[in-house]
Parts: sequence; C-alpha cells; structure tokens
Amino acid sequence: MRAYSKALIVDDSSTSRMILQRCIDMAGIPVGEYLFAENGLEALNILLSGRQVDIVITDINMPKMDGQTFVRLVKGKTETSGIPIVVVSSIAEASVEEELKALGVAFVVKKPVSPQKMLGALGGEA
Amino acid sequence: MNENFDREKACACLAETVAAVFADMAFIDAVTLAESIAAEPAAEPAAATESAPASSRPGPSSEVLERCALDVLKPVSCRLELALSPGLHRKIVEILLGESDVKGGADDSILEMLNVIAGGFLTSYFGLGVEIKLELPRYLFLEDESGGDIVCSADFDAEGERLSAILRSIRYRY
Repeated sequence: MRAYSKALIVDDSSTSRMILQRCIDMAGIPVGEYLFAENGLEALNILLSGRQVDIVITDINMPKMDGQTFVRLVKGKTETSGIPIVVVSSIAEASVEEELKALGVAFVVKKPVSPQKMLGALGGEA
Repeated sequence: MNENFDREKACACLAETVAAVFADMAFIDAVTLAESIAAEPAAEPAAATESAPASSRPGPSSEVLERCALDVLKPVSCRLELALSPGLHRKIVEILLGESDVKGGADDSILEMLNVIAGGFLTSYFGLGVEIKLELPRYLFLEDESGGDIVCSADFDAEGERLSAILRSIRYRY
C-alpha cells in the first residue's frame, strides 16, 4: 500500500476535514503529516510555499476559491502539476467529473466518504 | 428547467436521502413519521411538523428547533432546509467529533450533513448527468428567513429527537 509523508485536506467544513482524516486513518493508509486548508486559495498557497505535499484531497464547493478552480491552477503550474489530487464532493456530476479527470485528477469520490472509499482512492500500490 | 416538482417523487427522494445520510454519516436512525410526509402544498414548518399526531412526534413540542438551509441554483431553483432539536445536534457532534460541546468548530457538522443531503437528493430525483450548482449551507436564525413555497416536507424520529426536512421552491432570485 502506498504511504504519504504529507497529505493536504481541503474543505471549508471542519467536520468534513476531520471525517476525511479519520476515514484515511481507519483505512490504514500511512500518512506522516496532515495539512489542512479551508478553501482552494489557502490550499494553493500551502502548495506554493514549498511544503512537499504528496497527495491532495479536496472538496469542490468552497468559498473564495472552489475546488474546480483550485485543481485547474494546481495542474497548470509546473511546480505543482505532478501532485496527485483526489476530489471529494457531495454532487456526482458527470461533466464535472470528466473535466476533473481530463485535468489529471486521480479519483472523484462522492460524499459521504468511508474508509473503503478512501482506500480505493488513496490506497493503491506504491 | 423549471421548478415544478413531482411532489410525491420529491417527498420520497427527500425522506430516503435524509434517512440514508443520517445513517451513513452520523450512525443515527432517522425514522420517517409516515403521517408527516406532506406531498401537498403545506403551510409553514410549524404547521408541517404539527401534521403528525402528537403521540408519534418525538421530543417536547415546546422545544425550539435549530434550522439550516442550502440553496440550490441548478438544475432547479429551490431550497432544502433541516430543522432539528438541540439534543439531536449534540448527539451528532458527539458521534462525529467526539465532543460534548456544539460550539466552535463543531457547529458545521449539521451544515456538512445538509450539503451531503442536497447532493444525494438532487442525484436521486434528477439522476446522474445533470448539472448541479449549490450555494453554501447556512444556519437560519430569524423566523422570516425562510422563503418560497413548500414543495414537500417530512418529519422524522431520530432516536427520540425531532428532525424535519423541507423542500421549498424558490421562484425568483435577484
């Protein structure tokens, strides 16, 4: 199973951030350190600050900068384009999912999340 | 797409989605009070929650319920509301966050559940492949903050606590 030294969780809901972390831990996925952001803008600043994040888990519907815009910016910058991204959303809209995957998003997980869903999205082979 | 809902279908989807989300996220059984499912145009929430016989409604009727709402912009203009007892809110926070205090960062647990309910309801009602656009969920603090015609509502017994879900049609947005 793949291990992550730093995972960045992006969601405006503190409850959702906590649930995501808990589900990842319950799935047995090794994560060295969790970083958190409340919106895409905050998350982008974390990524551009030089911190070596090796997986991003992000919501879509957020204030200031939504998840779609955040993904486009991350994938459009040379220094961050290689970071794998998993999108977690309450809405399962096919066209949005297609766009996100075309941008390079690894998985789109529909809320409510579960350890099983997070294992499927993050727990692949190293 | 216009906002003319198939009321019976909307009611069924709403009741099923609320029960599923409360079970999946908070491990709480929310049992629909069959007498309370209103598929006809209903009066305001106070009347809607009175529609179930008093003997079947959980909790003290004098209890002030906490209310939150989420506006849907696409595929239709509508609003989903939840009304729940403070006791249910505390129970959810304890289960989700392991905290006994609902203040501070714990307050958005209900908003997050409403967010998931909205996505689940819209997918259940309209199916996959429909463009969905949601506002951010928020608490309602004033009596007249709600607006729009009630499409349907449902009351639940959430392990002895009161819970109601309301779908409103919002015709005009400026």
